[in-house]
Amino acid sequence: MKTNLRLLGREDLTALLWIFPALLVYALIVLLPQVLNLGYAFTNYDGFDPAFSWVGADNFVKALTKDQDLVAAFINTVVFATVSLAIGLVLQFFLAYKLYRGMAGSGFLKGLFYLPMVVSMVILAVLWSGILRYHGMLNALLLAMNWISEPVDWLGDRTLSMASLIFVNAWCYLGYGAIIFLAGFNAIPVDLLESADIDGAGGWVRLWRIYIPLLMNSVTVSLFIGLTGAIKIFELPFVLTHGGPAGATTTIAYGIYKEAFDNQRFGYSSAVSVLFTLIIGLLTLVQLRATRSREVEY
Amino acid sequence: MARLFSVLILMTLSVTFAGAQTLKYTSWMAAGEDKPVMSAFMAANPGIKVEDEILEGSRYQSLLKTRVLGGDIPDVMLIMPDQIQEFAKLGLLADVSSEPSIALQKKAPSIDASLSLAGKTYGFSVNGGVAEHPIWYNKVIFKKLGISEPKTPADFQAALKKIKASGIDPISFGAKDTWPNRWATYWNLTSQVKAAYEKGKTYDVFAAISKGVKASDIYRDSFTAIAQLVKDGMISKASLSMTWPESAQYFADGKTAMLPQGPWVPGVDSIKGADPGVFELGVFLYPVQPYAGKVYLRAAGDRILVVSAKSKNLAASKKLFNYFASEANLKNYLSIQTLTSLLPIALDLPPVLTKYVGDTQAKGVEVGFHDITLLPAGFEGRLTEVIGGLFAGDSVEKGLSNLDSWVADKLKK
Repeated sequence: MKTNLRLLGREDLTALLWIFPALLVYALIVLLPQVLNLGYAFTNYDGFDPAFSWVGADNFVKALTKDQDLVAAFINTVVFATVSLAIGLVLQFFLAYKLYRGMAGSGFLKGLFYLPMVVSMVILAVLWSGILRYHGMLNALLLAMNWISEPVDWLGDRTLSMASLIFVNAWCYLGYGAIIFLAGFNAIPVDLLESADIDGAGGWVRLWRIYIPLLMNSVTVSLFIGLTGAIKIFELPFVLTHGGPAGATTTIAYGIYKEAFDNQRFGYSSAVSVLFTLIIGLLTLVQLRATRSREVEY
Repeated sequence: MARLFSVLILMTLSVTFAGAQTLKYTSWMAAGEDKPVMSAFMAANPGIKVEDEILEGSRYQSLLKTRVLGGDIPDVMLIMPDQIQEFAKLGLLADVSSEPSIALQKKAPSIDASLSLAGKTYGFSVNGGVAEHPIWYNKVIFKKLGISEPKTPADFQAALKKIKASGIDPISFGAKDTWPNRWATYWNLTSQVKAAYEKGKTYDVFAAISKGVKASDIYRDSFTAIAQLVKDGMISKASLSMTWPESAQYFADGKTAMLPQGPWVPGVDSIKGADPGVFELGVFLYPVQPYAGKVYLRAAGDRILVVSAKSKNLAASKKLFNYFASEANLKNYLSIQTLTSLLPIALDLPPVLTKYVGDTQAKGVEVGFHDITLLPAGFEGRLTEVIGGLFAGDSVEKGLSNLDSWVADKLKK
């Protein structure tokens, strides 16, 4: 330890001193609860009664082998994340492409599409709730236009409720992802595109041979943000559907909340959250390796 | 000059609030129902200031518990009936056995007993009654379709079919909030009492479950009836995406013919302000097949007033408690909100609610007190969630097994 300290220069020590308050706050607010959470995962704590006991790995065993609700929440989360990302990335890419190629009012549109990112997800969900509910604005509009004969149950039908959540999530991230792609488009060397022009490369050739390979950095970033956001999605099911109907939109993050606070199984929900953290870590690692291997230096 | 002025203001403030005690009062009364009580109390007690805090109703229990865990316990608060035993066992509630207002509650010994632990009373039942069974209906729709109040299950089915055929949603719930689903669970209480008595030798369905009778045995008939209504399209699809206030508005707008809800419906703003051309409020009891010649209804507590044992201003807190729970205040408080009481208080209720209370006192109707505190906290939350699943098309068996596993898990702990 002494040797290590000796290796630190005066500047390093000064820097450490300056960041110490932030580190302390981080440790107290982020790290300590996680350590406590790990401890609770091995107990039957109900979140309230201080008389709880050690149950060993029971919570983990139950989560991995017996909990059908958790399996359903896991499937919901995978469906939500996969479809959200697939749709989201394509839309973000094409929106960025249109903005890159220049379109009327692109400056205004950039701001407009980015707007959802500066508004709380809860507020957006409340707004969408008014639009999507049974007698909400969307059904009123569709009925007025005679496109439907009776209201569509966007939030009360098992399949449609998940589709609605995916749509809202893709919409929320659309502008943010598009800005990341747009930065990628702008970084593509002009001489490369001019060479492609001279060689007579058409739109699709450009797309597949130039844009997509050179935008893999943007794909990595956008996928990383989208994946972590989609896997831990909480606000949309919390506000729009309360996880319903019949658990059809209960994601793992919302399920953890429900177990802890509604069902008062704090110890069990802690165990699920530990497993969930490991899954997120693993998925992120796989995703980063997969996309980074396709990134191109230029 | 400005400095002198500031000093004067500070002196005035310090004189005004010198010795003032501040109490924190917490409830789920989002429409400000309790504010007039707090204002009147402060006017009568100038030395005590009450900060009225409202937590969201559908998550009240978990929000309040989070506050309690953080050491931020309100001095006086409303809690739900199934919370009182848990709070009392943890020493969070002050003993109010000898408070003057409790004398009124002692006149209803079974109510007082349910809010007591080891001979000490820890809460006061603000409101309650035969709150679980009213089906509010729109008289305008009924009249238009030539339907009279159903007296038998067959009448009820016929009415549902007629309403559905007219294109109006027969029954709606604010099922997004989950808790309004409880009205579906007590429609068919008679079948639950039958199972409780035949399998557990008690007329109290919660006592039966706490004694080991499976929840699935108790709720099978009720769930089957609900699932059938869902299958027949009698429960509005809008229910699953509506909160309770939205469901009240939906009802007042004439979009649904019936709304099963508590006795407070006549006092809700959207109902009071409804267009008389499309809406007139009526009420009837859900018609069920009697068991041994009787139709069973449940009397239940709702808002339970308690005082924190940790209050730094215990004397002032108990003063607020006694003020709130005084007969004079309650009469006004309950009458304004069209609430009923389990306690012997003469209330000024609107005619529609008086009619309902009369229905619950008719010959052949047996009102029983089913003690929810015998079951683990959160039982009704789970039950209403399962009912929400039935509304969304879950099978009866799935719902019953879900409920059984929850109870087994809780009782094991």
